[in-house]
Amino acid sequence: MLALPRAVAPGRRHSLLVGTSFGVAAGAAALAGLLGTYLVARERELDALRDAGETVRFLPDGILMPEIPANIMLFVFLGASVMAQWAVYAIRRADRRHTAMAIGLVFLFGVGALNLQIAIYRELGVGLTSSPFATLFYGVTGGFLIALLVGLVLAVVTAFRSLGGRYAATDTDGVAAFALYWHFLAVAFCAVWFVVYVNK
Amino acid sequence: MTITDTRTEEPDSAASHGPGAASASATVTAPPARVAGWLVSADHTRIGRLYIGTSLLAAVAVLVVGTLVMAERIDTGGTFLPTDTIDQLTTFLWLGLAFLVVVPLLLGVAIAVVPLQLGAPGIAYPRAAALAFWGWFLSGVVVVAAYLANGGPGGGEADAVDVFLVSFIVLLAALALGAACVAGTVITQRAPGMGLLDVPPFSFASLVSAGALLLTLPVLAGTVALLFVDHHYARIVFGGNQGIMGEMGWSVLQPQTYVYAIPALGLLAELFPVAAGRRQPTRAVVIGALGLAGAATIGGAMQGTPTLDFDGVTPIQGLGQLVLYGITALLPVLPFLMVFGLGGLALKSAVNSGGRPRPGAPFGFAVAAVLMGLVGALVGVLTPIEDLELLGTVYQEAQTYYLLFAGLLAGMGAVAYWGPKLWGRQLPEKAVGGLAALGLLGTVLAAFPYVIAGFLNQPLGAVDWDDLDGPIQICNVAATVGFGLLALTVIGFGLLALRGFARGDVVGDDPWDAQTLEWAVPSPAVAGVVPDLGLVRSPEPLLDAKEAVSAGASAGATDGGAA
Repeated sequence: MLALPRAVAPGRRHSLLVGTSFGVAAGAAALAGLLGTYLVARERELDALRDAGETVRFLPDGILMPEIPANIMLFVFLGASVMAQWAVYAIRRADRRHTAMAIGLVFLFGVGALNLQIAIYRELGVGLTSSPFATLFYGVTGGFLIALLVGLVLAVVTAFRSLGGRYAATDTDGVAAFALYWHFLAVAFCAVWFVVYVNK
Repeated sequence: MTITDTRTEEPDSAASHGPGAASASATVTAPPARVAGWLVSADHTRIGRLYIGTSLLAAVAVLVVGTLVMAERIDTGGTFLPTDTIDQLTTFLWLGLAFLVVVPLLLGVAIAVVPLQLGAPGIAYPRAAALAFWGWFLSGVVVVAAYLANGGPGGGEADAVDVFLVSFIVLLAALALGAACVAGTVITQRAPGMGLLDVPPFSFASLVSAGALLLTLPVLAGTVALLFVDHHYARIVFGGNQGIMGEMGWSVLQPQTYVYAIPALGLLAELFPVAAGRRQPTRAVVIGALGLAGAATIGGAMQGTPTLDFDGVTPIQGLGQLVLYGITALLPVLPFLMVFGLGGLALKSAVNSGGRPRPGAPFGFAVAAVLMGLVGALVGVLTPIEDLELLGTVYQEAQTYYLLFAGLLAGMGAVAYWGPKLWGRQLPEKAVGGLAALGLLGTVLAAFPYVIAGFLNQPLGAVDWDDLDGPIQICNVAATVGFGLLALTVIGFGLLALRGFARGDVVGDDPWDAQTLEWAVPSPAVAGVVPDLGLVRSPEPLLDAKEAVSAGASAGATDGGAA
């Protein structure tokens, strides 16, 4: 059976944290691409409506944005961000039990956010092909959902590694990287919330 | 000097040891089978060579397509290509040149060379680097297959267009992952004592380039993701297959194209002091110039060339336009001028002190690359001025070709320069010099005619339009010849490299009498072998070591004489 050859020794100077920072930067750029394209396409659509002398409204007639679950999602992400930082605080004090609890809470908050997103889809009740708004809405929120799923996987991996004694007060990079990703998710959702749910 | 550490894989051939490097005490682990070893390798020198080989192969294909597309512009009608495929092949030329050739070629050189320059045992994330290569390679194959199946932007086969969009997202993600590996290496794997500003110019330029790629390629990936959702499910937002290139076009236009040429600056900045045989004067300013080139990152935010048009705008709007114009059109000229000017200082200082500069053949490639980049940047100064009506003409294409071919020439120069370290053998200097001259001529012929044709209003990317006679036809003939010459340059370089690196002259560890750490390890280098020169105390640690050895020898001779 083929096996990968042994890799070089682990890097110095917080390689994991630096790598996660790059991942977060790339994720932020990808989200910026999604939101930028959303805004440009929205503006184009509104211009077309203006030129046609129709009502200038991006949401199709009769469709109301479910704002309450979206607002709750915002607070869920802010809460998850605080919990993630609590995990870093706990591991720095070698408190493995509270680290695992904090990571578990982040996971639960993440599942809650996933549930809320599904609730929004159901409440909105529009098909992906029904209007330009629907296509762009599902495109942007779908992209964000992928980032959220990555965050959930990261939470599970970090929790198991933490329980397995992989991290210590002197080696907190893994937990710090996990927290950084969830801070990114919180900030990213703030942007999605404002552009898609408030600005519409 | 001694070289100590653990090798992770067996080198391809026996290391040759020059006078600059001592023996390697290395523990060699059992190597995987020959082909399988390449497939699963996490050795950065192998991954880098895989990138270099495949992107040069891709360059031949893209340039042949380019030659045919340019030839189609000489006359109306489908002379060489079916008329309904020309638009697709034009987008293949632009996207392929950027994402199948220039970016991966320079990324491959960086993956192979940067860890060696930093005295690191390997790349920061070796398995991620391997994943990045194979992700790029496989998605690149699928992108080409999608084009062949009538996909790609403007393609007539809806499923193939969908496949193109998905595989292009994977391709962009793989390139961004490779860039993250390079940037992570520069930030986390430097030798003890080496500050961030002490890293060699090519490594610093690779860091700037990797950062810029990391911040711009995902923006394009996000856009392509929305294009896919719309194209696959609805086709009501972006105009279906015909609207795709309109959304992606910014990735091959000013100012984004500057991002792809940044490593060319690093290569020339690296080679000037080596050619001069002395330390680079005002080195900090050179590093600053390379950092300045990172301003091109704004391309991801602009998603297009900003325009300069003062008709009917408020003073605040006018000021905003001027600021953007300054950042995207004027600022990119500076790094090219600064690298030339400051590198010239090193040569002048060598001449003034009675030294004789020794520019090797790779220096010719590097000078040609940065010269073409500089011309491209100067061409770009006029593009945004609305009154000149250059936007939407082949003038924009000319600028793209100048910068992308600058990257291609730099890539070949880098392979010629670091080839002895990666393969243990050197390419014949005369042949490399000749190819550099041919590449320069090809770039001038491929790009400059479109500067003229742009002023004559030849539309961007168009093949059939009414006004084809006279000077425009001559321009298109010249561009066709230019693309053909560039294809010949790459084919010639590829054949030369195949022969030279397999059976060429075996050289010592430091054939260029260089100044940086990669030349202190045995050739061919492998991951895991690091130079042991002690704490790095300057940006030229190998030169420090050589000077210390010669100072010791002089002192010994003086002592001996006194005794």
